[in-house]
Amino acid sequence: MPDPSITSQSFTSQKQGLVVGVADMVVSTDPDEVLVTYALGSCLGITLHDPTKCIGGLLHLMLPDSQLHSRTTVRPAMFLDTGLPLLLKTMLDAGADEGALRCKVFGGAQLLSADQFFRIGAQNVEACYKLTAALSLRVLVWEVSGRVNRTIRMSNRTGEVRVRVPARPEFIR
Amino acid sequence: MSKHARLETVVDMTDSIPCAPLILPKLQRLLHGSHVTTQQLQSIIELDPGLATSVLRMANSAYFARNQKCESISNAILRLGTTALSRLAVTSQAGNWLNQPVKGYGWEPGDLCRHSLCVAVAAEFLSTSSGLADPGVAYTAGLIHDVGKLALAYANSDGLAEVEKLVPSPYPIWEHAENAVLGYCSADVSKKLLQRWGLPTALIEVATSYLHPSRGDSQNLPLVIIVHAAKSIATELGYGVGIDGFYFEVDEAALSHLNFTEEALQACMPAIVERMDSLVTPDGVINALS
Repeated sequence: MPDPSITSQSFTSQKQGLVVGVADMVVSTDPDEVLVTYALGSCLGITLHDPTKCIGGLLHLMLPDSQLHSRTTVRPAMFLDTGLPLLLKTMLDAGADEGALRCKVFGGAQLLSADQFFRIGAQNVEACYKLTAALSLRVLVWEVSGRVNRTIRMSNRTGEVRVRVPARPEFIR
Repeated sequence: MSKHARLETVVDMTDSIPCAPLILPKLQRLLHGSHVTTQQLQSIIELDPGLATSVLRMANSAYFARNQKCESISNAILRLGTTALSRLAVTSQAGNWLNQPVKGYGWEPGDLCRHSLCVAVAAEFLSTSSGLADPGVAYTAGLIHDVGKLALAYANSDGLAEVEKLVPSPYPIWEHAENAVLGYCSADVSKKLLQRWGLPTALIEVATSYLHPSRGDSQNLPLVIIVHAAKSIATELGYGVGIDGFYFEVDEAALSHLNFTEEALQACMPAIVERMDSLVTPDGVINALS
């Protein structure tokens, strides 16, 4: 079994797990680890998991396209087009088998009556469909869209993701 | 007639808004130190909607107000001085709202604080970048924009449970369901509370009209629209968004009125997240409170 290793720009390890902030990501090879991110809103939380090696990764991205934000500080996990390839590469570098990877996608909530403004949730989801296909990722779960703020926790041992939304019972995907 | 608490009853029940219990020890330490600066005090007070409301309220009271309303927290601190602030902190310590589970909007502890902080940060950023409103006033307006929700959650959580059942069907907008069940909405509560406390017109207009700026006749329309945009950004980013959060209608006409575009507002988001990173940890703890 590989030594537990963690890759992240910034994280907080607490009893509840490795917490991933907005525009950040984490990969862990510790089977007992839980990867958590809070309050996705219109952002996407994307998990990658290798069930045979119990290696897991979690990305909390904010916007679909880094090209539209070239003036901002480089922070690859902020954007889908830079964050997801980086998450995939970090997983493979940590020892995950590409063929075994399972992907799950959460978040992408959408405000009401947003025709011209704040279509970020829909844009994120649409771009994610295209990019996961382009990267040949096997997506098992699309828990996206709607008008709910999701918090997710992935068990590195099983790949199961617990989803919490305000005022509703937690469920597993 | 609704069986739920009337608007006046809610306002009476929530006449004082206590601040988060965790903020007070740090504030007390500062106030009792020998070299406290206005900036140090401001950095603490600006993180808490309850305490910010109390400070503004006292600064605008008959005793302190003189002839001019106080719209920003920095001005309020200067006007009050450390003695009055210290007294206020002690008084606020008696409050225990946020020690109790707050029902009604599906909030976890601290959610309103995190959400209000993000609205404040975004409003300040948009004001600075557009030059259309005073950034300090915009920050303050963002911090206290939802004080009526805090009051409603405290005083009328049963009513809000009924509201929840009616969203999204038959009411796709949360505010409309509140009006149908309660006969008023959280913005009405904010207006009454802020009026009673004698806060400046600009802050009252924001709390009253931020949900749909283009329907009102605000004298401070750019400020109201900026807080509306900031609210939308904070909701998209997810900070402290409760069960009602996404059942909020974007007022596209108002955003266009200030020549905001989708691209420009999205371009602000990375900087707003960077600022929030300095205030809130990834697991939601507000830095100054730890």
